[in-house]
Amino acid sequence: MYPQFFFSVLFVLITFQANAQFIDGTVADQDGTPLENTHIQVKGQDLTTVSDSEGKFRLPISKLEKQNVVLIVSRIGYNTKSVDVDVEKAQDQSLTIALVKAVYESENIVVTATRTRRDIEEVGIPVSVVSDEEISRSGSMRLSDVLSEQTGMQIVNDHGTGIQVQGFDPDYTRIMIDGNPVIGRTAGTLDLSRISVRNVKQIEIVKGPSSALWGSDALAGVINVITQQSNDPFAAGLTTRYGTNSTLDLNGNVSYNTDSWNNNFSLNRNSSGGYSLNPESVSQTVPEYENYTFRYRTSLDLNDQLALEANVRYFNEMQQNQSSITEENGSARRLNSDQFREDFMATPSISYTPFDRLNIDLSWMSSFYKTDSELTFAGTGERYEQSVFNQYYNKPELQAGYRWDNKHHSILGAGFIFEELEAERYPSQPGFTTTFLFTQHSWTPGSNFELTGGLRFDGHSEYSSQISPKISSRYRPAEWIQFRASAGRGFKAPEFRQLFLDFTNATAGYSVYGSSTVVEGIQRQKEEGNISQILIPIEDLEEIKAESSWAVNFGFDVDPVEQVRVRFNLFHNDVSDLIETAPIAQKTNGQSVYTYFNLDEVYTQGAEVELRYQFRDNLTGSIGYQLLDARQRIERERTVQDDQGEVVQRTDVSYEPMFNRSRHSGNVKLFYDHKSGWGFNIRGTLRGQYGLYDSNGNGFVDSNEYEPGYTTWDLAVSREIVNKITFQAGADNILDYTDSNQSSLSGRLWYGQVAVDF
Amino acid sequence: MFNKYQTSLSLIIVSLALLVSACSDSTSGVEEPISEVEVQKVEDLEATGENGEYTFFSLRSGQEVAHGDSATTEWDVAFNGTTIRFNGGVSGPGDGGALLLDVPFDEVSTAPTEGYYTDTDDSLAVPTGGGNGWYTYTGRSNPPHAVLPIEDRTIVLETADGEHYAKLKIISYYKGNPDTSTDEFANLETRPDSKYYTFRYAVQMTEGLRELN
Repeated sequence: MYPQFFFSVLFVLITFQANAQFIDGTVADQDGTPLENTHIQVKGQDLTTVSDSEGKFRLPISKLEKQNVVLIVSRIGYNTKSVDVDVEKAQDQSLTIALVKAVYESENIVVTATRTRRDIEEVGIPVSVVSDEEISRSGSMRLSDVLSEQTGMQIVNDHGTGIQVQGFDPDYTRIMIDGNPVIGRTAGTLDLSRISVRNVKQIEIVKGPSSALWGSDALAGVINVITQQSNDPFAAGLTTRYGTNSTLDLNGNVSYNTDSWNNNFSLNRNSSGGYSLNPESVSQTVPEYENYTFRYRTSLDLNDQLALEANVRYFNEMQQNQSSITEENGSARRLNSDQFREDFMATPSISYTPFDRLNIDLSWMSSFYKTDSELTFAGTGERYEQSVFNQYYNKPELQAGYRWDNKHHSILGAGFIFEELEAERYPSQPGFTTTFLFTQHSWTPGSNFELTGGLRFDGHSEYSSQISPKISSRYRPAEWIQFRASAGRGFKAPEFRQLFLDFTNATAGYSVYGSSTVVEGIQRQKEEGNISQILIPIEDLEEIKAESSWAVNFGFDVDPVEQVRVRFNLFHNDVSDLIETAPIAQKTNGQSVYTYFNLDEVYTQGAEVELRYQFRDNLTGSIGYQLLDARQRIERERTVQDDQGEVVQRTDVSYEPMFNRSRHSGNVKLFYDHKSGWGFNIRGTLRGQYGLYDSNGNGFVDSNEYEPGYTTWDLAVSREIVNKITFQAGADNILDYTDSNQSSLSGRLWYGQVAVDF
Repeated sequence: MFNKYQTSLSLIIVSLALLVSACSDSTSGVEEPISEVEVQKVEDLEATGENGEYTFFSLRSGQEVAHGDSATTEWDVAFNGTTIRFNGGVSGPGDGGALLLDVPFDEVSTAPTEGYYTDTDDSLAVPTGGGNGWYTYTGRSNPPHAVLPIEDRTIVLETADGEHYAKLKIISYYKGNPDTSTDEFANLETRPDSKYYTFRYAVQMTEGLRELN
């Protein structure tokens, strides 16, 4: 959805007289700084000009067809405005036109791409934005609901609901709220259902490596949830939604604002009875849960130069499920599983603007993520197992931005990350420190060209340092087309679990060790007599390395006609040293001992196309498609025979398809709003065939190992009354598609919702 | 139990080509030996021995060999869990050995003359462990915790008497040779029992001949 991008505000100040045959004028910003390269068009006439380096422009009166004309004044990054001009009067004067910088409240301004507020049209890397309007019209509650409907994003379920971006597993996408990372991953997946999208302003999605700005984890991309910040003196809202599986979502928000002090509170309660896709299993596919999210965002302008801001978020959730274990005598015993988890994030910051061109931000992020899981025998209540996991994360950071002139802008930043863990799986209570430094420079010689380069250094207390460069560029040869190209490096430091895990599954009986704990772990298991065979000798193990990638993105936006936007992007990611688990020893109980290894190489490449069409003001449609080719390098030492039948060795290298990747995926959306207050939308998501079971154990997808693809359709109808009350009813997955391998697809979900704004 | 072994295919190939070449190449009066390859498929050979007891099998006779004959050269190959032993070295009194080829069963037409390993205390001729010998272990990928024979991997062996060559391909480690691409197999609760071997083999019944097709 790319509607008319610019709203307008304008000041016309009359100054002194000028030439009689021309209309002269100057374009400046609010502070009077002249604006070069501003586009001035006479409405209804094929007559345009561009302002010079002093912001001045000149239009010959002889070419004007009418007495009263309208000038359309536009510049990227500023609000466009129309200026009514009486030609007779104007020739005696010089016009001074002040443009107002495009405000952050516009959905077209993004921060994730460059760490500065920029118009989405102005950045050289592929960014897409999901607006609050689209979120609420789609009836989405959690971040996973929103992302599942975006082009090139695939929901995958592994210890939580994660997102696959450009063919990368969920581990490789950084999830942020207001620019700060969300912590707490299980088996690499950050469960997106932890994040409520109520009271969210927009969700920014950057694809391609962004480690040059954001550091580790931003290998496939970055998803940044920008929370709402009202500026009204007082505003409040209440939303209630109830649906299938006893799913209840209650949300309240209040904001109270003065000229200098903003306060935004929100509280969300979300619960569900869960559901089961496999009736034979005693465990529910998605357990019963109840969670709460509290958010508070405040900002205080002390004076023109100094502003304080703070964001606080707290989330907690209780999940209940059943499972069973088989005892030695062969009888099964029921277990009750209770899982509690909570996360907290507080980010106070100070913004200092000593003078116009310089801006300094100092922030501190403090965060924790805790889980407490308990298995008790059903009947007796006796405890079978309990595990506690606590993660702490602290990040002080300083960022300075300096605008040299209209053409050059730089940022420089530095900070530390302190991380610590407490869990029985990590008996040593490990912690490590990251020191980082980043810089970025943008050069904008004209409004149709920009070049941005960035570099980040991350020094780890445990590992060799990472240097992540990135360069991006955009070029707009004509008003209707813009090209984008970027190249950069991404990395993902080994996670805690990959280093320090010390875990034996009580139910299944397998063990997993991190690369730092595996030597001791194997030794201990050996002494306890649990090892039947060592598969890989300890002395052959190499120290684990950070996973890294090089990527290229190239694309363009085309507006063949005013109502149509076609967006195209080609991507290629070359990834090396991916970390995977593999068995290192076999246990006497038939299970294995696993540890982490750097898997040689993977590449993902593909193309993404998105077409948006504004049929009418109130009818918008879009189609998205992604072609994906994700392959891993398979090197096989083969023992074969020569012509005489004698044994010879040969090395075969091939790139083979990866599991759980669909070559084709796409979506279709249609949104309609009637002026009576009725709204309707239909959204379809298609997933092409994907490899699931490695039925021959060769490690890659063979042609007979594909599961069929599927399509899901969501519908929603809404009715708005006096701009205050909105009723919504809908059905997600209306064709009731279920697949026990897709645990997030629960079958058809009916819901009804009422939202009230005060 | 004999009904567990089905002789699905038993054929004798008389190598006409050899005969023809033997006749035309009549530099000596000695008659060339005739190739006689026996191909069999064995289904659900139980190798569940919980206390490490092996299931012994003779490729030459196509029969299971009684446990009491484990110290003889009656048997050629023995199974316990995922471990396969050959009658030689530390495993038995015979002269048997084996090697692994990454060649499809049907394409192994000739046994190599050398390169056979015998079982030792340090390593077995067909090593155990996922990816090392005849199988991969899927671990936590799908289907989880499964032992799946490596595609196109063929064991070539010498029988216990050291006189015959044979090739052997493990087809399944699960009872009933189930389809491993189903939800039923992926689910540990519904997966058939493991340690039941289904395999195909071809043995050259004529001493010293390397032909296996």
